[in-house]
Amino acid sequence: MVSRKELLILELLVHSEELYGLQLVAASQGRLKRGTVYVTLGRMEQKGYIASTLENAPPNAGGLPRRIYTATALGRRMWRTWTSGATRLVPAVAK
Amino acid sequence: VSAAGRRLRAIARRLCQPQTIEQVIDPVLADARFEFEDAIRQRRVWRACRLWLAGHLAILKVVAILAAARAAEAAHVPTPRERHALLDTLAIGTVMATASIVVLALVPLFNVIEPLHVDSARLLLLLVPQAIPIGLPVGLTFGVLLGVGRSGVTWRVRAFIFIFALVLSLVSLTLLGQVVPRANQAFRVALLGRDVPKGLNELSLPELHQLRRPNSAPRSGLSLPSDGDSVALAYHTRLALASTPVVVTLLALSWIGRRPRSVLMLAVGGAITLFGYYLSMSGARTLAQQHTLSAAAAAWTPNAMAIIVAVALVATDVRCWVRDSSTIDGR
Repeated sequence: MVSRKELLILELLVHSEELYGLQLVAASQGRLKRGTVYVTLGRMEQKGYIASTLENAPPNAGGLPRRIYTATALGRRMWRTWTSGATRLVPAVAK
Repeated sequence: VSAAGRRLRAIARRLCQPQTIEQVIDPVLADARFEFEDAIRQRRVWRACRLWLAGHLAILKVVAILAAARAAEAAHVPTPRERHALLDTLAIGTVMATASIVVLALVPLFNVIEPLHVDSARLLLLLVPQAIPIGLPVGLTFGVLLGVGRSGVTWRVRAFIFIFALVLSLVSLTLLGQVVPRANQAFRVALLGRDVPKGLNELSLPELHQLRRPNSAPRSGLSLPSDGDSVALAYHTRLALASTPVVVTLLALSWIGRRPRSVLMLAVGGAITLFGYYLSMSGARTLAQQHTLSAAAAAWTPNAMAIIVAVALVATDVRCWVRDSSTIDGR
């Protein structure tokens, strides 16, 4: 089962290839909140819909490196299934 | 990462697996820092302040979500044994509380009127509210002791029972604060068939609180003792009585500990606990009326004593547990 937020994140990642958490919040135009997006991203990563890597920060940069998210093949397939016309016409396919 | 961010991360580390910290908490911190530093580089101070606040609120929200998920996971009762113990506690507690309430309502009724008085059913109903705050602790004590004491108690069951006792204390407070005074007054009016001035037991908790103020204006239509100590004693006794469900539950839970005990031992223990508690309450009240103890001290002494005993019992239980653990480790 994919939630509406997860679908939105998949949609943004399918179209933009790779994004940071806050870039996803900005691109969602208010539909994703900065306080909850990371929990959703963590859950999606565990499900295998997305993958993340740490950015290559410059050597003199302090603090934690940022995490970049991309949609996996499973995530892309899931997004295509959910958004295809067949899924809407035959809800049983979606289950 | 700011000091506040580090503190929030430290809290999260206590709540979550390292993988969750890596996947959820660290990205929030990293993105918030990047956004903040970007605003600083652009010399947009107000935006930086706003982002700093928004970033920390986001971290706080993530930690709260993870904490709530962890609490929900911990509150889940998975074992049939625990469910069984809780249902037993509820069933035994309900039976004991109902029986106590009926007896406590019937006794004063038989003392003041003929049993077959035409209005006895209505009068009995008016006496029920004043019996509930005493019946609830009786039900809880026996429910806890006989429901979970026979099989030993886990921390999860303890937490459930404690929360339940807390809810019952709030119910008790509402009853003692508002319902019982009104029922008492209605009982007196119904019994005598005319208007009667209210006494201390017929005043609500806010009314008693108002009377305790040093410069409160004298109110007409009341039949009150002249000294302020009686008002203070009535006020504190009601608050102390409302907290009795929590106090007796703590006492019962601390006594049963982890070891199972026999039904007879638990039943006798429950009876002694309640008898001792109400005896100390009555004794302290007498001392307050003789002005040996202050009203507040007299009302709260039984609760304080019960909590001290509970803490001592838990400490003994923990010592035994540590000793048993070290014996097992030593083998």
